[in-house]
Amino acid sequence: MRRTGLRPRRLVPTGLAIVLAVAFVAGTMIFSDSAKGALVDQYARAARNVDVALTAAPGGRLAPADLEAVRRTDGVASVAGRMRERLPLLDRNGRLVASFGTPGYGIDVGDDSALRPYDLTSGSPPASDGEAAIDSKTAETTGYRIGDSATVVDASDQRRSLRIVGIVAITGGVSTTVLTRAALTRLTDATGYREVVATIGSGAEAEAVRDRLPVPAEAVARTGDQLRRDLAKQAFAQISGLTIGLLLFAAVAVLVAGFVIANTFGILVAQRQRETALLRCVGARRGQILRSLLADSALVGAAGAVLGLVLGYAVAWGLLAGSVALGLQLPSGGLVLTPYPLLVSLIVGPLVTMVSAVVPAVRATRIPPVAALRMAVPATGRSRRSLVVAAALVAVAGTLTTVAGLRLAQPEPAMILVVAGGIGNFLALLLISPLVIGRLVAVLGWLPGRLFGVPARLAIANARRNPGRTAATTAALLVGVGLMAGGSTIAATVDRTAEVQLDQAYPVDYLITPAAGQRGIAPAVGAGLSGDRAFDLIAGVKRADGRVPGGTVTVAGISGAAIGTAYRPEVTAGRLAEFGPGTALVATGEGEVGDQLVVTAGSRKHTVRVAALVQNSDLVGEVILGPGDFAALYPGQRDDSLILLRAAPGTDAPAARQRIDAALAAHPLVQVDDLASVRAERGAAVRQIVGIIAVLLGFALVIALVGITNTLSLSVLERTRESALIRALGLTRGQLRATLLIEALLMAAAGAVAGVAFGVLYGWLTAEAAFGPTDALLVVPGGQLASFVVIAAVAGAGAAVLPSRRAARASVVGAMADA
Amino acid sequence: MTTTHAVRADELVKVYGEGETAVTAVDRVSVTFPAGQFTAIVGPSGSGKSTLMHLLAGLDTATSGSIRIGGVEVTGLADRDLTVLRRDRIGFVFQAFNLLPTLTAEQNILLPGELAGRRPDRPRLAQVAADLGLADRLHHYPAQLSGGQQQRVACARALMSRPDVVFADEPTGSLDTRTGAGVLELLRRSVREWGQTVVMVTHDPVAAGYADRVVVLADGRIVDDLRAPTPDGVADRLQRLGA
Repeated sequence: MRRTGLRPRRLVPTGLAIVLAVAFVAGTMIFSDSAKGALVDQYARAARNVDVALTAAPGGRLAPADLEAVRRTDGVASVAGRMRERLPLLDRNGRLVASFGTPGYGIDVGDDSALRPYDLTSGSPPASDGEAAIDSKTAETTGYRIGDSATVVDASDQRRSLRIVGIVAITGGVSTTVLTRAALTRLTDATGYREVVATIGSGAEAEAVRDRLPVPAEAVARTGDQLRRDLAKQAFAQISGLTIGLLLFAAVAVLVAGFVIANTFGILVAQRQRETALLRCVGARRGQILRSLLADSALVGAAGAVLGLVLGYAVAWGLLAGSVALGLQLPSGGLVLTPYPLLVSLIVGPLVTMVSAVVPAVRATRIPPVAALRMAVPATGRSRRSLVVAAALVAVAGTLTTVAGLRLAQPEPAMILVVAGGIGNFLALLLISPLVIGRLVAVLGWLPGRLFGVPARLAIANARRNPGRTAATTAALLVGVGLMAGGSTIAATVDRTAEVQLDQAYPVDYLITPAAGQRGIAPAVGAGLSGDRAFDLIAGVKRADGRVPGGTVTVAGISGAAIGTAYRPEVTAGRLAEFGPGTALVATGEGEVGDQLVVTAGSRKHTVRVAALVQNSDLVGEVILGPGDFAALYPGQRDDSLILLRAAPGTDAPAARQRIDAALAAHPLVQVDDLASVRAERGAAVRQIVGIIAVLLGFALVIALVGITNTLSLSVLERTRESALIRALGLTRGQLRATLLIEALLMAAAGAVAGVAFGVLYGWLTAEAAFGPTDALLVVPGGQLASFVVIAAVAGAGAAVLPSRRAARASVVGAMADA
Repeated sequence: MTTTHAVRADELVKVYGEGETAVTAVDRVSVTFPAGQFTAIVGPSGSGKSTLMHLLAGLDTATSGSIRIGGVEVTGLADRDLTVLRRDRIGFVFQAFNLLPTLTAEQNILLPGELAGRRPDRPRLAQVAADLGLADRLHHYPAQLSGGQQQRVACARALMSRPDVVFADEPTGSLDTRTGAGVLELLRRSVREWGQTVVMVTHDPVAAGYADRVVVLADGRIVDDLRAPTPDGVADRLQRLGA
């Protein structure tokens, strides 16, 4: 049997669902490959011409003697040492040039021009002490040009002026200044290389030379190929999180497409019941029916996959173009097409279609030949009881898993358990949905029923007549909207909870912290601010590593006056008022109030009494001491690690900020966080996350809407005679259209409402698990959620436009004769 | 009703297709259906009787000619007005698939009234249901009713609003003889007892025998107009047409 006679046009929606799903999968993969390709190209610059490399341990340096040892190694042709030291660069206004809080680096100009990790794009390399080259990205952001004078901050916090003589292209997002080795050594007080790279002579084997290299303790010797591979891995790690996230979304898209396809085939099989029975009558075997249906589905899947691949290419292009919005800084590069996306698309497309078609196809084989002779065959559905039992079992398992997760104190396993439980309960919801969707539609239809009368009531009745089909149609939306609602709820809840915690713990306006890579804030900063009337609360916090019997902790020193005012931790036992000289606040989660706690720092030991147990704060530390006790342990530490600052009443924000900037003018290597702007930034970040989630899941929604169009088109065909009858009885064309639009709207709204309810519940539970013992403050982003429902409902009604037009166009007499 | 004619058609023509493939299904038919009369339109298949009924009932638009229902000119009405006309002035009983499966018998009966936005006339519903023996079936869905019961529900719906005319298209076509006879008896009673006007299309001489008058159609034209017909007379007439 060649084909089942499924009319191609009816398979278009199925194909469309596959096209979209495959486009997302292929798009993600092509994007990921392209991003990797661009990153590899860029990272390869650091390993260009390198045959063997000796890399210092993280934080360590290789001595000049190590370089000489490499030079003397048999087979080595030329050697270059690479210095890389922190060297903050200031912009024209004297502000620190930082990328995500990280100040810039200085590198040396290099011994061998072939082994330089950068390319000179204009000017010349620095040749003398006062000359420097900067990377092109920094030149762009600061506006520095060749011939300009730029300022860097040396190791003793002095500003040094350098003349820019060249611009270089170099890998990495951090600002980079190229100097002569002598100048770099002098400015940073550092000697030694991060890496020694070498070329080998002709006839030498890279592996052999590598094995002969003298390797100091904790350093690593690699061949150039190994280095390139490792650099590539490092590059991929940058984007792997995003890629995994995108692939998860792609999986959701595939899942949703599966629902749509299964539903379409289910309806087609139901509609073609009599034809199938006739085929059985004339001798088609069950296997033949099954095979022909599956063959059809494979064909549709393959066709969809090919088109999806083309669309996927466009998707990848869009992702690449929009990668900045995803928080990525990707080097520009073309799209890279590897065989994998092709292969995966061509497998995923037909496979998903076939798998989704299996259940309907098997159902088709169960149609008895006698069905051809009967007027109507009662629909064979799974028994309600088994459905309820299955759903109940899954729900119990899901709920138990969720509860178990919520009881765990550690966030990560707790979240995994909660999410697993959520998946279980979601499955239960899908199983049970045919039994409840009708009621939900009826409830949602109450208002339209009042407003629109008969069309709305007919729509409700139509949506309820085949609950299995309605449930399957809405399932796709349920998944998409559920994830969106969950994501939004998590983002809002986490954000609000963290904000409240921060506000409670630090009732201040500004946090001053060292710029990344800097050890501390010079004492002069705190001293300068403490005399200022603009601020009524100033607290310096010193931090250092120490040991308590339980393990390594961060020890903080803070003045007693700041406790309860500038720093107000949540107390779990004891009282903050007990804090004073000789006592400690402990946030390790261990011990009791009144315990004697021995704190060790190096060879020093100091015993304090535990005054209170408090909630941990990453900003301060786990063992909090008074200044005297802290000094006893760390007598050499003068720098502050954090300054908490509150503006006095009557000082407005711009004025306060001006005073801070003035006090910090001589100390550029600090970061000032305005808590109000931190809040605003975090709000923007949350909105961005929600936006990204919404855009990505929009794909799933589009597929789900294709499903609605699909279901309705087929329903319209099924109900041709009914429509004709009711038109004859007095339903106008407009009312008939309205009937279908409302039906679609109700289906979409039902899916969206159920999705939102489920998403909010599990979003909150996941956030709760994420905060461990701290209670999360449930925030329901009502506006967003309402907009999801409205968008889904409106889009659902939009999905009904074509089917409803077709239904309304049909002439009454023609429709009666056709059916 | 003030008009003596419930339905009146003048020089009605319906042509399907164009040019060489054009088929004239109804060919200059002029006919009147007086109020309070039960008329059967009979004819062999392809005679145009169904098309004629579709035109008369405003389900299809005529190529030319005019139709008046209850004094209202039907030809030339827009789709929307036609729909309203059908809703308010015409009752329908079709051969099969008369009822919406998602509505109960009662909801089906009340549907046209609801579409018109009228409050359900409960006493009328009770009376019609009692007369048609449906009182205990009102809350059943069509799938729970027998074929005869379904046709009676359809009759009840058609009669509910006391329309100017009830069009019945082979109302007994898918019923067994005895059940069919019950439905025909019902239509005749609605004419005799309530003064209803009924126009029925049928190819069955026995069904036509229930009517007060039989209009015989062949090749799109009226070829005979029999008063007080008998089944044998109608059968004889059809036989002579070569049916």
